[in-house]
Amino acid sequence: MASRRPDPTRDAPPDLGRRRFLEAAGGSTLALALPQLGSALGASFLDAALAADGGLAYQNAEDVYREQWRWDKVTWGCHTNACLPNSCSFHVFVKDGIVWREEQAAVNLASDPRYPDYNPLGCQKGCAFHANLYSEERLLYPLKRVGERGSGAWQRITWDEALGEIAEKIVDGIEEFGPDSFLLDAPHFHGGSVAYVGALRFNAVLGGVTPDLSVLIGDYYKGVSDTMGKVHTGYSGDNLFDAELIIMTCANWSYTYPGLYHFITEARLNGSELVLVAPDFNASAVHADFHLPLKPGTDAALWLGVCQVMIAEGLVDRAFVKEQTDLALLRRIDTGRYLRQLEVEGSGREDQLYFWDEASGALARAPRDSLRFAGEQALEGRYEVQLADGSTVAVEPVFAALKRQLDADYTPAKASVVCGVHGSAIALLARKMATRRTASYIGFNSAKIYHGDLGERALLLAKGLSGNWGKPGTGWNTWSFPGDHIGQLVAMEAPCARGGLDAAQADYAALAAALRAADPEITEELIGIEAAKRYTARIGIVPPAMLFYSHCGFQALYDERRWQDPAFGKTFGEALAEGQARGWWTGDHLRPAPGKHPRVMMIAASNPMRRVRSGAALFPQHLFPKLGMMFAIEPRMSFSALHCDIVLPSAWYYEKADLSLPSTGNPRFAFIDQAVVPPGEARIEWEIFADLMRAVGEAAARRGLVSYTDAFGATRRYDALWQRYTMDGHLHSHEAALAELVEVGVRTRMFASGTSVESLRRDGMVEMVGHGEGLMKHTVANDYDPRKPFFSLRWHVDDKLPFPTYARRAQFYLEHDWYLAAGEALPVYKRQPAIGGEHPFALTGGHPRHSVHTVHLAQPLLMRLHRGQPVMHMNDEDAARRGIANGEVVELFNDFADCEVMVRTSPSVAPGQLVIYMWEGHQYREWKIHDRLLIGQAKPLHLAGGYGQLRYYVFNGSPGPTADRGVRVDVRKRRAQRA
Amino acid sequence: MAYAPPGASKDELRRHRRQLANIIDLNKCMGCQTCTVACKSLWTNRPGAEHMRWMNVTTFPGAGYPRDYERMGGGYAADGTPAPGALTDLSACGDALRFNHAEVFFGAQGAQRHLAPTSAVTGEAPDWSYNWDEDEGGGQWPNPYFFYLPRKCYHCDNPPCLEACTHNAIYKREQDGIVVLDQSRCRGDRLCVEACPYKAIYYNPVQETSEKCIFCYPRVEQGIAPACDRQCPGRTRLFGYLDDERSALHKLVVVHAVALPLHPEFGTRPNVFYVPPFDTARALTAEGALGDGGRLALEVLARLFGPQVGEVVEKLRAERAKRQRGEPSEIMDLLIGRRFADRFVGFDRAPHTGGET
Repeated sequence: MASRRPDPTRDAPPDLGRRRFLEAAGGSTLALALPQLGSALGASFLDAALAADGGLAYQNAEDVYREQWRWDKVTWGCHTNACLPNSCSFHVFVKDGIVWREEQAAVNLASDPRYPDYNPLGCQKGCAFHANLYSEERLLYPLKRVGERGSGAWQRITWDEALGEIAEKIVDGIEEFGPDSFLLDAPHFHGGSVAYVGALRFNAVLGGVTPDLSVLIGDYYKGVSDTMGKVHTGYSGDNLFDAELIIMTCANWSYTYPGLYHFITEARLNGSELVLVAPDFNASAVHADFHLPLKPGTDAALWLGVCQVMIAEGLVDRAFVKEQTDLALLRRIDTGRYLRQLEVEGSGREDQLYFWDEASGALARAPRDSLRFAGEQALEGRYEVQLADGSTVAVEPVFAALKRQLDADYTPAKASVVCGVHGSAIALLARKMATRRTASYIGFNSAKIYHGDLGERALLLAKGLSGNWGKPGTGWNTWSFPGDHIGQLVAMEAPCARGGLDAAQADYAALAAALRAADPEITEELIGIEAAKRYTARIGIVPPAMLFYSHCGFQALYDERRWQDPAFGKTFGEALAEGQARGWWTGDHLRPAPGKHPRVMMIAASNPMRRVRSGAALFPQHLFPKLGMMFAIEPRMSFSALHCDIVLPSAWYYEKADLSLPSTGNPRFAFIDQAVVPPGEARIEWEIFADLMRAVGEAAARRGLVSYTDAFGATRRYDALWQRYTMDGHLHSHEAALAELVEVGVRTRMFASGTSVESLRRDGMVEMVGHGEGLMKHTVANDYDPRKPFFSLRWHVDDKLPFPTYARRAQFYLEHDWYLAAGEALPVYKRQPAIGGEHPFALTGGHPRHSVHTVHLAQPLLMRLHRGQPVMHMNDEDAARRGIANGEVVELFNDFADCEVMVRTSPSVAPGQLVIYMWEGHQYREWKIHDRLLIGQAKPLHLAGGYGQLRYYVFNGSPGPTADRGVRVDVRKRRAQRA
Repeated sequence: MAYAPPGASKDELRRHRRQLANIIDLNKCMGCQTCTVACKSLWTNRPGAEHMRWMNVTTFPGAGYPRDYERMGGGYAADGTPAPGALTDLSACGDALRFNHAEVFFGAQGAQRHLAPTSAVTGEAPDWSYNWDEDEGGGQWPNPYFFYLPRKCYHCDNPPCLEACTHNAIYKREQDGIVVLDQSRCRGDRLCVEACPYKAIYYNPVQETSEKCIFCYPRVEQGIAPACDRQCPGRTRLFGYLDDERSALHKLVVVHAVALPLHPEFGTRPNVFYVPPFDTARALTAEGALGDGGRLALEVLARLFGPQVGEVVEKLRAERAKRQRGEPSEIMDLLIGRRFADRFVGFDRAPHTGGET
């Protein structure tokens, strides 16, 4: 971008501005909190005002404010790795070497002029990010704990001392337990793309262990995965403009997706209707046509009621159902299992299934390589089939069983009793969905509900019955993103220019050939999933629930029978043992291996003490005692950093160049330039990791150690770690790593060829042109064209490509023996166990309005936009009955933990519901963060494996350790008030 | 424009050739406070200005900002004479909370100290601050209701602040009607604060002057829309000359008359207009069934936007219904505003260039 002023980051920052700032800040007698940096403007502001005094015209006086609209330079900015959904391009305004403000660049093209464009794109968090840079939260120097853990007693140390001490502990751990001793808390994107890659690459090169980010934070939609065989299908924001009906559930875009929210309000103005399904009348209900106040955790009942009406009233898109779903597949009435080729023909495949073809009046194989079927599948009826052994069995299409179950248990009247939404509203919703192009959004809350998978399966059933996927204005947005550049750079052994990607492609080709030999009808998508499994294990990503269960003290919670589904009956431990015995969970997943302990934990822009439910209660007892070293590489003092042995200050946005990671919702990559230098001794992460890797090699050399054995039995040399991390020095610097990241992006066709760091620095952004060359392309299953709104799954609908499920179709019938035993073969409603104990209130929550995760919660500019402290939203009448006043601090408790929090009363909260959004742990009295009460119960049924889509690879599969929505709690007045 | 000394005619100060104006569409506002941040980062991040939110958003119904401003008088009586008004104080203006980061992070007191706000007014834990009643709203379960109400100076045709200032420090700019408070001539008497019924003027205790929204004239002079308008991710805003017949703003305010001033009864003739909420969430019956109407009563809207609002809401509903029938609607197209730049006709230049491109 052209800069019309001298560039003070290249020259020295002018002294004048700094001196003024310091003088004014020190010399003020004002009884107000001074904005840290406001003083520089303040001084000149007064000067100008005085100079204008006595003039003869008003215009001179106007210069006072004109002077405030003057900048030394403007650079590109973005912070969207802190909120993965968006890629908002900003201008960053610099004066006197300080970033004073930022403003959306607002140069995003519409996909097509008939649709609203994406401008301005960027919210209050982005527009306030400059305040993050200068907040008292910033870490400026390496710090070492000198008091008790979490005491806030620190000593400033040098970088060499810090890295040397950490390296010694890493070597200690490796020598004791191998690299299983090294634990990287799942890094998030809060430090940027390059830092994210760096953390994962560091761990992969060392051979350490890191829990799966998406599963850990509860962003993995188990029910979507069970049904579609995949999760990450998304649409672009403007796809909503094609919808005639928009259904938002488990979500509150007004808080969480402000950049794209206008597509909803503008779609409404264009005639579409918005249905918001949420327990409370939340900030998005403000713009809804219908707010359906669902009782927490009863989503499945609502959607099954909708399905019942669709079928009963003949509203089903039968052709779509027959082709796209498994509802026409035959199931045996005696066993409940699908009818299989092995039993019908005496040989062949276990996963070759059947239809009843009404055209021929006979059994017909359900094609595995296509959704096309020449005959006419029966959806109803009961048929006698002779098996190869001469016996006869009765079979029926799954649809027939489904219809029976819906009619028995989910008429609108019955569903209404469970979910609290009136039967007439359920029926109305069914009729609307069945007759309109319907786009849905299933919020991440769903993945944090104990039986949220059942709610998702039921909602998708309604979508399937009404033919609402794979077409414009339909689908659901469960987060697709072009991430090949990130994924590849984590694992590549050589740069692109030296064939780094070719090696990966050769591996893939060999795997594909082997898989095709075993199953000629395997799809490219299924091959991609197999490749992803191997990749996941290779870079040390593991399912988090097992890690927490085995190493962090969660056994006491997960094995609490009262807080698990009685119908399944198995505790987590029992299910895990059986899953291991049956070969579903192996040494690839259970790391650190039994008998080994984590010894070093690295935190890189993540906040495990906040985000791991009840982690703040369990880690200090069960994890910390095992750790010889817990350290954080962070731009700010997070709640987790407060508990570390060493904290290392890192550069933030505007202090290093970087590239955002978009999602399909906003399909563009934004560039972030370096506008200012990092403060104090803060350094850029990529180089911190490289130096730490070198320090590990040096520490080993001092002890005469040469090599160690990794979890796969291979030997790794200490003195080769730095070489491997930097690809033999090629990626020695942050700039080199960024350039390589961009190069991988070009080569995997995520953005146009010719894109480079230089072109990005000039243009500020680049449009996405594809989902990459890896699995994501097949997952979304549609060609990407930046000049059209995007929706997923078209290849299944138009091109009849099979789904990556066991049944090769959207699979609503999960005949796995555990699902049958648990009564969850078909989507059903199940009451959530009383997790937390028998208490009267259901606690819900989610992402806050004024922060992305915890990044902005303790940032003063944004804290002054609200009460500046944790609040709990409570129904006003509930509060009145308890004698609790708006603004009163109360005790919140359940059988596991307690905390204190201020109450905000409102009629918008449902009776019996309490809502707390995210807050930082140190914002709570005694640092007792409310997340301690959340438990995050993992559902043992989700350990089922060995069956099609019931498997684990990165971001997909395994129990989510986050089921916290609707956890049972109670409220009482504080002890002082009670006395 | 020549300075009018005390005693000079106020007509001279009100005189303007053209008028800049705003539309804020309440059917799009999500209460995200981006506008508040945009304004604060640009204009009021100075000593003495911490409590000011020239641009602010609160939840309606609620106390509003400054707190209880609607009950503080000012403006004009029905006969056109200035009505007495009260002063705001720092607390009503939302306080400027202080925090104790260093004590928590480095105070060696561990969990005994938590990060907490302190009122700059009392030095104690606050019992009120900006946006304190966020999302509380009104009504009763299962029919709660609320919406977000962004507010700023209305750059009135008949500004009571201008009328009240004994130093003639307040004037409307001749070229665009922006109401400016001259910092060099202000003596901090705060008669303007008393006079403004919207309480959109704030006292700066460091400078000992009053300050207010300047409609971002340094940007506007360069063809750049005000920061709050251009930075609104909800695309609620339109900005431009009220008489610019090319603009969507003109069409919506003047031609179609679907945007209304807040509290017209104050008599100031504001130049910021609101598209009132319409087609709000369907009310539920006592049994929980969907009722026929929205849950936002017309009387509530009429109290804010005057009796005309009923007609406007009906017109907007009818236009949206056209789209639902697949018929065209110019009004809906204007409110959708597919192309972002069309919201700011004449003021769509990029801010980073300073208007040079």
